[in-house]
Amino acid sequence: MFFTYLRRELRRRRKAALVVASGLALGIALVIVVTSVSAGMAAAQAKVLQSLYGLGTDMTVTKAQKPPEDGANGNRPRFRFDARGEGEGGDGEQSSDMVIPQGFATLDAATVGEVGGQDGVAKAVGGLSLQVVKVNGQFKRGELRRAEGQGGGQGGQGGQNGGRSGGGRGDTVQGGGADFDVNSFSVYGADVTQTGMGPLTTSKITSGRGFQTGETDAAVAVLDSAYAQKNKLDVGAEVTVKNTKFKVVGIATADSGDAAANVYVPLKQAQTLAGTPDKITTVYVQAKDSQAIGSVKQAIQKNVPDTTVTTSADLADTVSGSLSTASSLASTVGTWLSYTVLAAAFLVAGLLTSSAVSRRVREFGTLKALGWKSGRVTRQVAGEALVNGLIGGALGIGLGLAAAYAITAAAPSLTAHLGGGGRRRPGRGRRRGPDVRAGRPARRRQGRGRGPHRARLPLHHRPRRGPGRRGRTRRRRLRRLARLPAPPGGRPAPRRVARARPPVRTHPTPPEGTRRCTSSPESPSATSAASRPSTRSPEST
Amino acid sequence: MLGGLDRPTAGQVVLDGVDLGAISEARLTKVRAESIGFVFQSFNLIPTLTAQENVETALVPLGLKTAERRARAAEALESVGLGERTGHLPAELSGGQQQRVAIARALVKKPKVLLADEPTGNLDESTRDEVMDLLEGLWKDHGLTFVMVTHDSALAKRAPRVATIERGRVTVTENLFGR
Repeated sequence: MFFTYLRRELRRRRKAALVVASGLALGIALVIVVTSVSAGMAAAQAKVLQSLYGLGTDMTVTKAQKPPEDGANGNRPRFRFDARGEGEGGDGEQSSDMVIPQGFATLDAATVGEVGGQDGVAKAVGGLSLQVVKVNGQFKRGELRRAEGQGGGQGGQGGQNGGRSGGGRGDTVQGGGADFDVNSFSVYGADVTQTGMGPLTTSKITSGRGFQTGETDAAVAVLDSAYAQKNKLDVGAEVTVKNTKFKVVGIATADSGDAAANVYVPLKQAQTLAGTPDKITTVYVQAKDSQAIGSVKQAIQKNVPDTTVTTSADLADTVSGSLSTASSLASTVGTWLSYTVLAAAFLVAGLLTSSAVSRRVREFGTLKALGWKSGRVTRQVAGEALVNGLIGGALGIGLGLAAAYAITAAAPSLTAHLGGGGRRRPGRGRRRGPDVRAGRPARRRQGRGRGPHRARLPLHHRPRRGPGRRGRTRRRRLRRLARLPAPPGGRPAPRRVARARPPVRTHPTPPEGTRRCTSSPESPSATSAASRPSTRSPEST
Repeated sequence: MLGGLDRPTAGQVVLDGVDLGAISEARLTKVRAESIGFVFQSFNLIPTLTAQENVETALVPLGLKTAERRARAAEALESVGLGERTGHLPAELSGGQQQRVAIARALVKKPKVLLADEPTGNLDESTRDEVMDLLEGLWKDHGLTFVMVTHDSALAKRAPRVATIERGRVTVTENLFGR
């Protein structure tokens, strides 16, 4: 009778039952959606971090940053070129390679063992991140011209190479200058004996093979697929880094976002390239217990001097971008909202149930008159409410899961950036922002489909006198002085005709990328899209 | 009060030698379940249950087996002339039929006392006579005590014993048996 009555009640009052059930369902579904979305975002963030670190890495150890000593600008490299012109020995083409350990700070290779010996450390692998900057190009000599008459307005000074001709007063130097190509890419020296850890683990070998444990000092390289594609390199090809030829044995494709480096070589080779034998930049550490990461970090910091230990939790704090914003929004506001809705749903369900009960008081009176015990009547009502709630719950779980899947399918892609500072728009010049951490593998956007970046104007060609023009006018003036061709897509070279008014500009603005120079090393940063890689941050749309 | 739903503040309600005002709630419930049948003015059927199920609700407290309960309910409905209508909901039945279901519900447990609170109050005259004939017949057949409250003097005349309540007091008692 209990079930007959229950079934009859629910079926014949199904509208009311449905309202209660769907209210509950909505609340439960919302909680599920919010929970799953925020969990998904946390997972996505973890993935972003993983792309930087590699699988199984709990923390990295790098050299502690120290303020530079007095008078020194660190040990930053300088390029030095002779002021050789055409026809003076060779074709005048000069080039220089510079291989710099990432962040200019290296650790002794012994640190790996030292870190590995700490309590709670399961595995420690060293690696050397290098930045290779190659500059080549040539200077052109300026030509001296006698001034006509005694005009004397413009005392041309062409700087170093023009100055050698020692022109008299009123003479002008025309032509001359420099045209240099700056090419920069990153090299990672991997410990080939420990292939299970390090940045290369985030990439899949899509062609060829990975390093073999015997290749500790072999001249072999694994290329990042993006870099390989751009430079039209494939397995079997050769890459030259600072006069050393490496045979490409494999192509690695990053799982998500950017790869840790453009070129991977065995650690010993990288050390030789950089001229820093037995040096590394980063130790990748795996803790025995992922819960004890904090204490392992402390132990390393205490026992291994001059190091900075960065855990993935530390890095998580630096994740910025829309992913992080959405993630915190989902986890705070969303959670509270969903619980509020759930509470409201319960309240409404309770009210509806109690009003339904009070409408049925007469019915219950009858049942009692028929000899039903109060307990039986209560059980009947409670049973109805319970079944109703269960239906609502099941409905809610179904709805919530469906919604979560729908969101996964239709969600906008969110981007995440690692490191402090502002956002970087992909492919647009250099990113500004503080150099947060040294020793992390930097991602280069060097020359992404944009041709060589030209060093536009040597310092010594800058005028020492003259009106303090800035910007375009100055660039024009200087270009004129140096007789340089206008940058590609740039403006036509102005004619030296005196005009009362400047001509009306009809040419289009040159592309953004040509305006900035990217030859200075950018701050270590990584752009990585979560869940679905996107090359566009939402702000730029 | 007669049915054991309310307790008297003074005096006694004695049924079968048991003072209904003095026994526990649980025992009172048992007495209601076993000995007293109710018929209400407004039928008080449970709207979501069929006629058959409504009759069965009276048997639930007796703890009968499902099969027996069904059989007895069907039998009771047959005896009030609704054998064909067991599967209908109260809303699908006429007023007279609903009251007959209520009577079947009251009698299915074979009570000692049948209490009827204006059982014909919501019925038209012909249905009223129909229902009254039924009640009278059952009363005679089953040999139970039948207490009926009514405003209808025509109905009251059919009863062998009439008590009139005026301003809360029983004023006149007519015993028609000794006529």
